[in-house]
Amino acid sequence: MTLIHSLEDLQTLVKEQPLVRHMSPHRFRNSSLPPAVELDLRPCSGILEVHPSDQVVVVRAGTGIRDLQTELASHGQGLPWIAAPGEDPNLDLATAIGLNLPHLGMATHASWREWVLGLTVVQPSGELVHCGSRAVKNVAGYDVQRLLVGARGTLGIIAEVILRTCPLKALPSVDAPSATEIDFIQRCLPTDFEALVESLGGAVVYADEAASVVYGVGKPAVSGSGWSLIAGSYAISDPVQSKYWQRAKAEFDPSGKLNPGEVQL
Amino acid sequence: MEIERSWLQELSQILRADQLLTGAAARRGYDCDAYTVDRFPPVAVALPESTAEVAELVRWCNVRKVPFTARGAGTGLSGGSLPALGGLVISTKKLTKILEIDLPNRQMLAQTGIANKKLSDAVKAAGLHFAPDPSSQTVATLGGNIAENAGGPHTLKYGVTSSHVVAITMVTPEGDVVELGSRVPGGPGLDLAGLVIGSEGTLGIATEAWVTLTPLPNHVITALVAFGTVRAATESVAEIIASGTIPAALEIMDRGILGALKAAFGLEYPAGTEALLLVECDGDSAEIVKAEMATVDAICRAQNCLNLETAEDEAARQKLWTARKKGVGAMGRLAPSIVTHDGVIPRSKLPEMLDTVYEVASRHQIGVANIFHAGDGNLHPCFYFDDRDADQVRRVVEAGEEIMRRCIELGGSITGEHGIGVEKLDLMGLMFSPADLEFQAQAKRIFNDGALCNPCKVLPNQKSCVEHKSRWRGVAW
Ligand SMILES: Cc1cc2nc3c(=O)[nH]c(=O)nc-3n(C[C@H](O)[C@H](O)[C@H](O)COP(=O)(O)OP(=O)(O)OC[C@H]3O[C@@H](n4cnc5c(N)ncnc54)[C@H](O)[C@@H]3O)c2cc1C
Repeated sequence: MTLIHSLEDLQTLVKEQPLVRHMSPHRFRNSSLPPAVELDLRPCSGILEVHPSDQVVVVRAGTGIRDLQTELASHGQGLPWIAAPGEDPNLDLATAIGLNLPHLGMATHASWREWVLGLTVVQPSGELVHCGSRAVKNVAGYDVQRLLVGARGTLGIIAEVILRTCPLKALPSVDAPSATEIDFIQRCLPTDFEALVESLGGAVVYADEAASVVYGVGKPAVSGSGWSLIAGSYAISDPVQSKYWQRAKAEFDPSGKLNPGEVQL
Repeated sequence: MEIERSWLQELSQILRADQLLTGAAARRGYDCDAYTVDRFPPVAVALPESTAEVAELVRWCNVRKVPFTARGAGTGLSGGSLPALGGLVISTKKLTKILEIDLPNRQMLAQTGIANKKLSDAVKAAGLHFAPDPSSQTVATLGGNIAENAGGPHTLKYGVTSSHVVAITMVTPEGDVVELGSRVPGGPGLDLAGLVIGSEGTLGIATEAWVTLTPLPNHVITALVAFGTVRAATESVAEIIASGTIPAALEIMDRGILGALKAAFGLEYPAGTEALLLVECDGDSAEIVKAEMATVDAICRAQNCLNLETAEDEAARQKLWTARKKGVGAMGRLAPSIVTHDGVIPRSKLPEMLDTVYEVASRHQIGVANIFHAGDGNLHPCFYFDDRDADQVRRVVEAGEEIMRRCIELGGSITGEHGIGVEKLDLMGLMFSPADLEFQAQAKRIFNDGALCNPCKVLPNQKSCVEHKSRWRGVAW
């Protein structure tokens, strides 16, 4: 693990290395991965700008979500993020955003794709680029940030994030179950939810009915609408995803430097 | 340019005769959108009725190397549906069907040529609506909303189009039909629908979309507040947002708009009014809605408002909305031309930014009126002028650019909802570095690495556009 303390360090290292792994270890990452230089961005943390009256924060991507919440709370703000059962308490932003991790406030407050207003990204060449802006409403150019949320670190390294925040009194409140290990997260259409929960039976650890999301152990159900996130592996079955992910990879990271093996295309 | 005979013959294999417009009148009618400065005629306008027909047309364009541009209602304000290099306009005028309404899951599948408001009308009886509500909603299409990521007065609380469209059927620039996104959002993988929304028709032609339906609130209170200074109105907005209250809408109209409303419709407002602030609070709990309005009331009174009128029943509320809804139309009657700008700034910077707008307009000696989504920090300064006078046009352009520069300096954006189109191509470089623009170009090439699908939009300096620009650039150049 190489600890990264600054953007400059990150740029230099990424430029020099042929294969780079970044984001923190997480159960929803692929477990068998080819060797690569491992970068730990967590020392690259901290809030860069906080604008409570605009409900916007600019923060380094290595920052832990818990630390960010504490800091935001002192400004009367917060992220509408409520950690899922068994979530790593030290989870950092880069990993949560890279994996587009679900959470317990999804029913009312959506998720990362809605909250990320802009990004600073290190490209495989080491070059630093920006997308989005601090404005809460912005349609200038292509929303590349949308593409990077959930791209599992394969298209660029997220170094800084501009996030929309929420006044404390508008944050969701959920009676979160106490920490448990889970193996999968599965979401379906509301009308399929009852059947999904039934077919999973004892595998259900927590059923978030408002969002039609199940957190469970073992394997997700095969049937039903929607998607699932499974511990230890990520393979694409949708041919459209597969085709355009390959094209995206060819554009953003043609040499395959970033997070090799993270996605089976 | 007249359409070639052989092309006509080939297109007649795809479309009926009444689905292809080739006359001079049609070509003139489709040479611009509601941003009328730049114009260029297409060689023909196609009116497909299905996804399959759109795909066949696009494949034909690829074979013949004909540029093509999607068009909805043509209410765009940045030249998005201008056929910049001519070619074919592919209109969604005949793609207006609602294909499925799934009330239990609060979703609806519709073709993209349907007018925004028709989506809401179809599910009103069920107590639902399609939340994005651009002021143009009676005509602007779902496809146009998707392409521009349209917003509206209620975007402040409910979010823009991207928050309400979950899956899209799209014909790619190569003519393939793909399903993007999922009816079950929030999943892993690349957010391809998210990239397409707001991409101004440059990544393909959306033919169908699943939209989410939002419950209509049980309780709504609307307030119309008159202020003696614009600054008091903008300070009130900044304070309301900072208080943690998020109203459904927060809209400002200044004296220029009120003057136009008086001239056009005889509407009167309290003497000494320099700005009107429209506030709407809504929700399912009457108690919470009332409490929110009480906060708004206290803030506006502390800012010495001249008058504060509230309404709860539908008819009375609609009356309070009159100024907001008729304001833009009234502006159109004031001068031969208006240009409506669209900049965004962080909300706390509103008071300062409005001062800048008036100062810039006065220095360039042009009339300005403001009607805008204050809660989002989304400004719409309307300059009114005479576009037959080249000097006035030049001053309008210069003033607009100055305002946009200031928006960026304050940490904002050069467009909140109207898009880049061709209008703001030259301003992209103010907001993004060359490397940032190349980053966006990489994203664009995932779907579109050719030069046929809605060329010359969004990204500056595209191949074969630069030399053509003088052909569509308006009187200002
Ligand atoms: C009076 C007035 C008020 C307005 N108020 C608002 C407002 O409050 N909020 C707001 O956001 N905008 C507003 N607008 C701007 C405009 O109405 C919106 O941008 C609207 O979404 C455009 O829809 P349209 O159907 O007219 O699209 P067009 O003008 O026909 O096209 C706009 C863009 O969308 C593309 N496009 C159209 N259909 C498709 C499709 N099926 N697939 C792919 N691309 C497509 C076109 O190529 C073009 O780039 C207003 C405009 C006017 C004239």
